[in-house]
Amino acid sequence: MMRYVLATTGLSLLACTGTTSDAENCGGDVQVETMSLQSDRQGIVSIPLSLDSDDAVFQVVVENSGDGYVSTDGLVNPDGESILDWEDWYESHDSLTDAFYADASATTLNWPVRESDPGLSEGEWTLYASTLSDDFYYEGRRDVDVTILRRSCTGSAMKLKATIAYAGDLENDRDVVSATEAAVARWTSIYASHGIELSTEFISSDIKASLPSPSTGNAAYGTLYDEVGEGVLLVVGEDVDGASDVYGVAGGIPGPQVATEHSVVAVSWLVHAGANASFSDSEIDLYGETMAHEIGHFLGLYHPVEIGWNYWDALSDTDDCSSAKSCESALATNLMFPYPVCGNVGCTSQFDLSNAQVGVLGLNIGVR
Amino acid sequence: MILSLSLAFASPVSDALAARDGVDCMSLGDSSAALRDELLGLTDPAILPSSVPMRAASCLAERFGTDSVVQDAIVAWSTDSERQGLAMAALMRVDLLGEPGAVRVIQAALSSPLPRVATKAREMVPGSIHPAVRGLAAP
Repeated sequence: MMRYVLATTGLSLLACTGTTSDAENCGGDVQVETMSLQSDRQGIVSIPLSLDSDDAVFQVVVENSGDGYVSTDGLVNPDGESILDWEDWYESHDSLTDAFYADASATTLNWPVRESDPGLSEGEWTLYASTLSDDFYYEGRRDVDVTILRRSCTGSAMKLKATIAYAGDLENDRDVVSATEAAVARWTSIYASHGIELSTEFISSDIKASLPSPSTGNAAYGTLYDEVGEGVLLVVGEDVDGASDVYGVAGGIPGPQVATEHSVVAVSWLVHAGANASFSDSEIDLYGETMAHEIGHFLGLYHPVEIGWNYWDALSDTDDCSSAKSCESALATNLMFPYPVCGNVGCTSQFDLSNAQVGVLGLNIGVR
Repeated sequence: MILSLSLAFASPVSDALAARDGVDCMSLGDSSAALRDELLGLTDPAILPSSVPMRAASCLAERFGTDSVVQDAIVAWSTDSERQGLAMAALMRVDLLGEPGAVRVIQAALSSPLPRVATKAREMVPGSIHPAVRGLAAP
């Protein structure tokens, strides 16, 4: 059966370790719960979510233990009402979450996504996910590892912990370190202008400077995230995926904030430094905007419009423009615009976020 | 104020090369001398954003790597401090230049006075699909 046909669901609890623990605080707590489950004969996994009355946000990360893919199908509240259904979004020209797309070994749903989405309530919720084969057919009896993160605060004072890891021995490259620190300052300033206080830490790592794509995934990213433990992890390398033509790649929209092969944002210093491999001030600004942009993806933001001008984010206050000219006119200064808009003497600064975009960031499990 | 695009930077190819999250070189159109020449023009270090010349270099290697005109350009970049980033981008796709072209470019890069270029060349040698390139590894 292909991914496009939703099979009958069935409970498939195999084991629940129940390892609940307190993580970073937010005036409240982040609760972490892990469980091992198995998909039913049709390839559906039913994940029980026991929510407390003060839970405001959750993030569920489902990882396929073996080969193949996993995706999120839907969410049902304690009254049995469908709150989220992948079939409502899969062919939509508005994008809400990558969780529906079976293109990785892990799927991440952060809910609510938008401030306009139905909020959480106390009781027994159920999240449905699918296990699929390498050729995207439902595949039953597959083991999955599930991590549930819950937090109770609503983000009135938004804080985000970010770790910046140098790959290879870039921490010894003075030019790269100097430019990266200045770019992180630019990123910090952009987020601060939208009410998000960024706390940053710089570390070195054993990952090679030619970075694997977080989208494809790599075990080294899971290991590194495990060492960091929480927040967002940005890895600075020379190139991403051997291409040397990509500014940066996020491990998902949203990305998982538990240790998986996809739990990072990767950025290339070289592409930002450009043809002469040396940073100008404007290239450092662009470098910082890329960090803010890619972490924006990791926290759940899409481009307000995709190149092609016929796919948009699912937010009500970002323009649904339909041509390059109209989109640049409406959105060129938006942080999440798909490309920098440049002229003869420089590029337009991209730091704006709409209220709904800031709302998405504030509802991410890592912003607290 | 939104700055308007310059004439030299207003083609569908240059727009595609500016995307923040990457571009598929195969999406730039059919292989032709016109596309090759447009990409060579887009390697001008003065063009903004920086991804445009970098991606142009990368796409040249990917789409026209066996073309002697492109190989000549890569060899020239490898000793030009204002274009060393282009050389590094091309070196990452050096296997696409064909074995003779790859050997020529790697040899030029290995002897470059620019440390970043020479280092990148040394990194690319051991994993090359071309035996003659792997044979350039230092003993």
